[in-house]
Amino acid sequence: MVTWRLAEAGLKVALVESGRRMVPGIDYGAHVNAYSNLDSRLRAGYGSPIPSVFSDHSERNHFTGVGDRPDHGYLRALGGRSLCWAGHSLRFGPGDYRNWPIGYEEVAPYYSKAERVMGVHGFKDGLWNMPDGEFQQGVPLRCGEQMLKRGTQALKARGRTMEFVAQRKAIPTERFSRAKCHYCGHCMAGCEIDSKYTSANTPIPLAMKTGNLTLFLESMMTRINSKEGRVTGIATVDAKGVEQELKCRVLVLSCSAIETARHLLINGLANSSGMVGRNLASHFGLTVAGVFPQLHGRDASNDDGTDYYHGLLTSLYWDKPNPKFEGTYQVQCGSGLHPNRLFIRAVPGYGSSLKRDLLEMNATHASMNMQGSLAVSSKKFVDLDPLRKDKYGLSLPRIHLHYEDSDVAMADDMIETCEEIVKAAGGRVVLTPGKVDPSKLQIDYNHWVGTTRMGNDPRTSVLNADCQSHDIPNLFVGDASVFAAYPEKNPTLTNIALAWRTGEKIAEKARRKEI
Amino acid sequence: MDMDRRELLRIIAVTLTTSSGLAREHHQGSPAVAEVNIASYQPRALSPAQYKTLDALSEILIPAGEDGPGAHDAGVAYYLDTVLYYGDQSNRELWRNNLEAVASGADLVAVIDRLARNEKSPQTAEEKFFVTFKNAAIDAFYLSQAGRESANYRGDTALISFPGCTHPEHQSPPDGSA
Repeated sequence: MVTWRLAEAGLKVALVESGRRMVPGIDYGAHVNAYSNLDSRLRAGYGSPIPSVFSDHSERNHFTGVGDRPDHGYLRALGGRSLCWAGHSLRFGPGDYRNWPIGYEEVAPYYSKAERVMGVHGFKDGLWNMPDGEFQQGVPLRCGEQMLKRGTQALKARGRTMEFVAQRKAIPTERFSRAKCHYCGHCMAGCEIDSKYTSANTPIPLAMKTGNLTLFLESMMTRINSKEGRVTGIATVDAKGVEQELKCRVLVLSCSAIETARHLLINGLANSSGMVGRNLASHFGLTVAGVFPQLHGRDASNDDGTDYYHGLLTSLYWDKPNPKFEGTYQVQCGSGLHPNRLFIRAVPGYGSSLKRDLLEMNATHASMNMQGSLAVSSKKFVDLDPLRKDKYGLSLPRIHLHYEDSDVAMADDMIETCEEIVKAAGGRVVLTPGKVDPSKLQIDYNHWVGTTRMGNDPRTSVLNADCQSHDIPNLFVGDASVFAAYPEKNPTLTNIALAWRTGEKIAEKARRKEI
Repeated sequence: MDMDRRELLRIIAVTLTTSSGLAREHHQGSPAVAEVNIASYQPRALSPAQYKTLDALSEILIPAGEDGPGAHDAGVAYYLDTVLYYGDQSNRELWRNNLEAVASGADLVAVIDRLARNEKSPQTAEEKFFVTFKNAAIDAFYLSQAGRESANYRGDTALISFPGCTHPEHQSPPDGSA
């Protein structure tokens, strides 16, 4: 997004991407029955007969995990992980910006611009801390999610504060510059018709149209050159091993919260605060599922939709924090029969009764997947592995994750709440982790943020409020590592809105010859 | 609700850039077929006898009946043998050994009945294998065309709009009562 805004402003931009360009429908596309290409895909070395851009192409052995099973999703491709995201696009609200150097009102115009370009669908829900946006026609809940909404309404009637709404996603439902969604449900595996927003299908082509963008694909940045407190350029190596030096007036790193911190640490840059790699946050979760007798014998329907999660339990602890834990969580909710997977497989027995029960439970189920914000602490950070290096000789990142009492308490609260909702709706809980301990918690490997956080104080933050390094005036960051604090909501829309803003700030500073 | 002609042509054009087989499957709804003739498939990971045992066990687990085809018709044994063939050696040996052990029992139904009793907390190697086999066979069955039809799965069809739940009785009552 920064690339497009700079190119649009008339600046010459070189985009250096370590991966290649992938083509929807050629390099990925999920409209395939497992049996029709089982042998050829397994023979080709893929792990599954079902194509998935992330599973097929993501990096392996690219970081070192320390502690409670950290993971890191990394896809080297033009557009990166936007090729395999689910499209969830939720604005952070005024309450979420309390500990940021900028407020919601500052970011709101950029949310609107981003939503219009991304093609976000949703309903106007009127929630103060998840403000409505510029939405295309929303996608409604399925039967199972309606059950969870009933349960939520029942708990609200007993005095609990929570809301159950339909998801908001960057998937066009109306006539648009990209193809309208056809509701096949394969969003995360990679949208074959390129309907879902990706960096590769929207801002990069728009930037190319300006004539100001040069792409350097399959080129890895191996060094950041600097002199007298300024970045002067970078060194790259391409797929053939050819090394190149690129000079630049401004460098914008948009490599992900893990990789951006890694490159700054490798080059010893922008870290007078010691905060590069610190303040690491992500989301973590667990799953609860129930079955609902009201859905017994329901009409067979096409449940595919816009991938699995159509519902969202939200508004928890926005107004009154829970004293047992920091922050809060939201719960992504899905239901119905879906291609290529049965959500509930742990059904006892065999024979015709197993067959009957599997179908009954999956047709009548709804599941709730917690997305909680990790408590930030000194136990969660990124540094460099002193021993392991990549093929370019660069130190690999090391991710330290240690769940704390606050995280466990949040998960316990989520399970209790979700079980209550299922029961209040007349359902039966069929899947629950029970009492939580850190071994049961699952990190969201795609949602890392915070490692070069913005702030007003150069002693406690890496970047200023314009996402510009406190130390190096011509170094900026355009990914989610800039987040000063992390709420429960999905990061991408805010990441894109901030990147848009950063692009404008850079262009403005360039015009004024401040950088 | 209406998908305009330009939109439709765009979707078709993009889809046709994939293999024609995929386009047929997704947009015209013709049944997906395996790359081989399952009925005459010769196992590659398992011996013919082990394969026959696997096929029989799968059919006991997920039988054909009034509710539709079972694991045999779906080709579950073919699927699992292919996965094992391209998988690692130790896993192949695990399946071979356990299928041999299971086949030594005269009555496969009795064997499954015995192993299924402890599936929630399997203790022996045989019981643990049963859980592995069961999960794999369930996945293989519901990935097949027969399994999808058996589940009354109605997806994999291009829609102009997504209706969601259309049942008034499923909607939330205004008073919050469930």
